[in-house]
Amino acid sequence: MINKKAQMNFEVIFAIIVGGMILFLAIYGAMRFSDSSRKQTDTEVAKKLSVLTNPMQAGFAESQSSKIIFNQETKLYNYCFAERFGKNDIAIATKSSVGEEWNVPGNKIAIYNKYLFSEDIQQGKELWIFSKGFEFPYKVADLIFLSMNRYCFVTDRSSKKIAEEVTSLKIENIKITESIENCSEEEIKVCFGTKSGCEIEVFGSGEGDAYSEGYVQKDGKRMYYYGSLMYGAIFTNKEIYDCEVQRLLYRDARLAEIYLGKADLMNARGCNTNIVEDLKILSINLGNASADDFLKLKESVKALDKKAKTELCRTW
Amino acid sequence: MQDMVKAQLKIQQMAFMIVAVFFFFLLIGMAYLSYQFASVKTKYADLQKEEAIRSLETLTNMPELSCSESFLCIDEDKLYALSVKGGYDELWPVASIKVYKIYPSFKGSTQVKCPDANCNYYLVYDSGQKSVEEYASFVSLCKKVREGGYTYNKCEIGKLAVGVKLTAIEEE
Repeated sequence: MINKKAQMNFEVIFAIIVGGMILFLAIYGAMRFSDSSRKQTDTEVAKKLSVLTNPMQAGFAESQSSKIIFNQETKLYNYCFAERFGKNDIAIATKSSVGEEWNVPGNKIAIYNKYLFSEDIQQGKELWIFSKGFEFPYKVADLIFLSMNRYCFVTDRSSKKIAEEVTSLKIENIKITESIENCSEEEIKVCFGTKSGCEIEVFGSGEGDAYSEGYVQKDGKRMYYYGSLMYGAIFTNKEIYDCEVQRLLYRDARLAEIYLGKADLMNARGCNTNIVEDLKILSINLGNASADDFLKLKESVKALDKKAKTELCRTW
Repeated sequence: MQDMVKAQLKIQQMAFMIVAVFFFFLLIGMAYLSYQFASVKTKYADLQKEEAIRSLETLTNMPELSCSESFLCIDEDKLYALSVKGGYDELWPVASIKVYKIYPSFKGSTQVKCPDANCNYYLVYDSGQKSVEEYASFVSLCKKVREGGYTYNKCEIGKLAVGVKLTAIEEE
């Protein structure tokens, strides 16, 4: 006699195996689908970020500030490439409570005509953006500073202008104080001039406006700056900073060629300018320069700017 | 024996049902995916359009084109230099940039490209893409002149036309 109760029906075994396979495929498919949906959303956010930063190219305004709030905790990736005009690639990854906490970042969005200064990877829910024009000696571009961190600027009398500028721009993630004790733990401390004990230190060497030029000491590395590049050095790391400076110098050299063409046309119709030779030299020097040559060019740029501003027919 | 035939029939019935259900969900999945792809393409095109419209202001403010002193103003001397030189292709966020002289209007209906004599439009950049959608904005077209001992900006009315760039998203 065969005990049928102890035996498993073939139909049941078949249903369990096939059912299990279907269930596995369904779960696997749903997970893959959820991953690709996240990637799609992240790519869309990166593209939107690229579009949203368009008005941040300050134009005639000297500087602008803004804030973007994400729906959930977000990682922002910033890659810089310096060849010719170069580009910034940005990518976004969002945190999820389902599946893996952090997905691989969405597709990279290439931005060619903007200069984004930020850490290579930063994380947060709020992104503070502000922009400031960069002149060397004419306007080269609007630099865009992106940060998800909070900063505490410890200023002294010599850096009063910086404090006033940050206050007037209402940059929410930068606190201005005269004493390091007023900074909180989570804030990144930035010391100006005589103040010390900060993660980042800024030393100005400009005449008149002390912080119009100088260097920023960060992570044991020194980044020389001119004008608004000071904020770039504060908000980014040395690799991205050097890359952006390299891109700016290339664009500067190409702009010198345009101004040369303009100067020739102006001279031809009697609106004379005397800076043609200086522009030729500047164009060659900028074309061969790297981020390390930045300091050497500063003096000739300042001299050219002074000369250009005294002319009746000003080229810029 | 009869039991075995019955069981085989049931297995066949179940197998057919499973295959049918599988194909049903596969079709639903494919329909949803094609809808998703279409919506991604539409969203991408919308963002590109939005970028092109915003680019009108961005371009007039770019130092390669802008006058130093005024808003929504293009420097004609820079335009001339750019249309002769080129080499800025990767910098422009759009597919094409043209600047037309509108007023004082050019006599005659033909378009003459600058820097030719009596020209009426500048072609700053053309990516060569077909099916480019154009968006335009009126701008001041100025150049610096010196007359009677005075230096001033001599301006005309121009139209800046940009085309939407249809580039693919870079794969990681």
